[in-house]
Amino acid sequence: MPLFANTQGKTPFDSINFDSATNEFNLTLSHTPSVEITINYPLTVQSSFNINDFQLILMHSTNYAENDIFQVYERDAGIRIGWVFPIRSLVSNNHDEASNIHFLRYAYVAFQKLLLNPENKTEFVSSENAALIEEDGIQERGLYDEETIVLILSNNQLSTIPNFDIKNYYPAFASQDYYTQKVKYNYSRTVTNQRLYVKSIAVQLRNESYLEELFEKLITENHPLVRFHVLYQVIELLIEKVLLFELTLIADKLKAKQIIARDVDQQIKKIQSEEKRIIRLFDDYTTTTSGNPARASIRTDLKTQCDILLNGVGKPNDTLQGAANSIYSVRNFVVHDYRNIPSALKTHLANINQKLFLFIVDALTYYIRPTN
Amino acid sequence: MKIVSKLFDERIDALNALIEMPIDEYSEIAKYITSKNSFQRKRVKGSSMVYKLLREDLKKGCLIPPIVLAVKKENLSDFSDMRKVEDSQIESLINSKELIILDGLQRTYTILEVVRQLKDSKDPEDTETLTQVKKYNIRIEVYLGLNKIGILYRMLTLNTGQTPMSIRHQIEILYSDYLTNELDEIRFLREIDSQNPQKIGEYKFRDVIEGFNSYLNRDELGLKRSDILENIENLQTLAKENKNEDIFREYITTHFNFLNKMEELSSSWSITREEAKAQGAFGRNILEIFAKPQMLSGFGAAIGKLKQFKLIENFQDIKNSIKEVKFQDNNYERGIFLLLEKLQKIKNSAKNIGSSQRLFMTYFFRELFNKESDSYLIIDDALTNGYNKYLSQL
Repeated sequence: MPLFANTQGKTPFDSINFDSATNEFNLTLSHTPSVEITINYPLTVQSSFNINDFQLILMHSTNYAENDIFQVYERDAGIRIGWVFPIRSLVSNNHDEASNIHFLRYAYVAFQKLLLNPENKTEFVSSENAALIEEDGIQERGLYDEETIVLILSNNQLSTIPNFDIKNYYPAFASQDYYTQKVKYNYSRTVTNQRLYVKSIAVQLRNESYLEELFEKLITENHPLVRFHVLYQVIELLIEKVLLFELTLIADKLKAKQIIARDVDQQIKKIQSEEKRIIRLFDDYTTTTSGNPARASIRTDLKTQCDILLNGVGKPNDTLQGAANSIYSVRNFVVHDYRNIPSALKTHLANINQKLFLFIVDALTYYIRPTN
Repeated sequence: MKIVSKLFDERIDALNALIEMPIDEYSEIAKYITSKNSFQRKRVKGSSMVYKLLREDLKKGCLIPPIVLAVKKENLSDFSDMRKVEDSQIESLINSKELIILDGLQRTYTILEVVRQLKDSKDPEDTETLTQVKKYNIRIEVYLGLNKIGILYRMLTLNTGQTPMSIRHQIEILYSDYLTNELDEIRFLREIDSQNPQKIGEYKFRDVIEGFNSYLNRDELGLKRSDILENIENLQTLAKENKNEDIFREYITTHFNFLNKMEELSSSWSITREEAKAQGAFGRNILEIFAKPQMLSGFGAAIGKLKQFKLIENFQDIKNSIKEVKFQDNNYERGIFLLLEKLQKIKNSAKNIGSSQRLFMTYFFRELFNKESDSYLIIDDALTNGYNKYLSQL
């Protein structure tokens, strides 16, 4: 939705020009040029890109520094698809990329897109001076808040990735503390040489409506109990897929006469129980974490947090059991006995949620169907 | 023109003359002012329906609120007592056109546009309208006084403009005469010069204004319109301060002394451009580091605060302290790298780098020049303690 001018009736600004003498953008109404707003552009102008070759997505984070300007790489394709940075980076020359021609090209495009066609933002402004961010209330009207994160992507680069859809990358961004909504979590970012790598969720999980709902709306749920249920639904979704796939495998084995009819019941019993399916999910339906300490630590951290709660309520798991058992035990306790969790431990559910979130992003990203 | 009233403003120690003059006469003055002074030349954006209406109303002889001007400082050096200025002297001061527009810039541009439009038009009716418009009288208020802070105070309290100028802009206008007259060994660079300071003594005027603004408000972020009521009291006090000395001059000459002292202590330390780029260094020599706006603002805010807390009397106290400032063990490299390291840490972690660096520098200078602090006159200690103080505010 575009910015609207404070004229008779809401009229969107539809024309943008850059005045190189004053380094200002002028937004005007093409049929009434006298109505305009002016916004200063403080960065060095690099105007070689066409704004129509890019798409801009607004994200949010409370966890940012002005200098957090990263190139976004698609992990599997190995190519740079764009940049992500806090909105303040567009109004300051104090950060490290202020002279980087590559950043400046994207910045110039992003700035225009923010003025001309701010997605999900409608602002009713009078035709006076404006600013991208509210600056101390001096006769300027801030169009965006400070916690806005700009993700600017190159359409040319995206066209080389089959069936690219940014929604499939929301979990990856969320695990790096970039969200589609205003939330307050605090995940540390993994950045290598100013590059942020993002990976899509598994092909088999795309177009799952619950995942869209989770990462675009439900992610704002803050109460630990609600958040736990909202996140655990992803595990429910995944173990349902485990069940369906295992059932097809059984049917295939039967057809291929690898098993006989009498064995079917037994085979089904192996995958019927939720606990067994969760274990299968952790062990067989996600790619191995061996050789990847970061991914392995997601599971060990989850187990650690779950066991704190379980020990605290007097229901410790066998120490030999893994994270799958621990999270399942927590789930059962929350569903059936939440009211009996001591107050001191109820807040611990938030810690479990922190780790559970990282696990579900990992599971969504590395989900596979086993080959045997 | 006709001088209809002269009143002396005791608060700000300035004479206010109310003048009626025809639009014709004013437009000649305004054309000169706006062409000569780069700050006045900048058109405040926002030509909306309101000003279109004003243009039409002017053609019909409407009376606009008084436009407020001030006589430039250098033209007043012959006058010791503003109370005794004669009407003829006021007229010749105005005719010299060495004036600045304090309030009414938008109205001035509107008047100039109307005159130009009618002049350029080939319609005989417009020619007739132009003749009439030129004769319509407008009121002009002119301030004659040396106390710039006092005038700023007056501008803030009485500004009723449609698109009020930012306080910063008002200060720029007030002190714009320093652009044309060099101040001892100090030279100011304008925006249109598009160059960075090349040697100690050169400053970007805009950055100095920002720093001075921070001194006035005792805050590294300067004066904001939203704090106007809080600032009025400050400005009243400052106006008294400015009676005996030109505090803008004192501010910048003190900073100049500090730069020279740092250059001397560091034996003109510098690193190459490549080294600076590789390290992401804040600056590659003393000038680049300490003439940046964050430094000027921190410097101004710190001294302002010290004055407010009566820890210093005036800028001379700071000038005296500067003579004794030193690096620990005279190890300037260690001290400078400590500064660069702190600034780098702030750059990597701050949500707003500029504001955070300003805050750090404010605490640094306060530690350095506060006789009661443990870090008094020792640069390294002031950096460490200043940084810790900055962290404690996060």
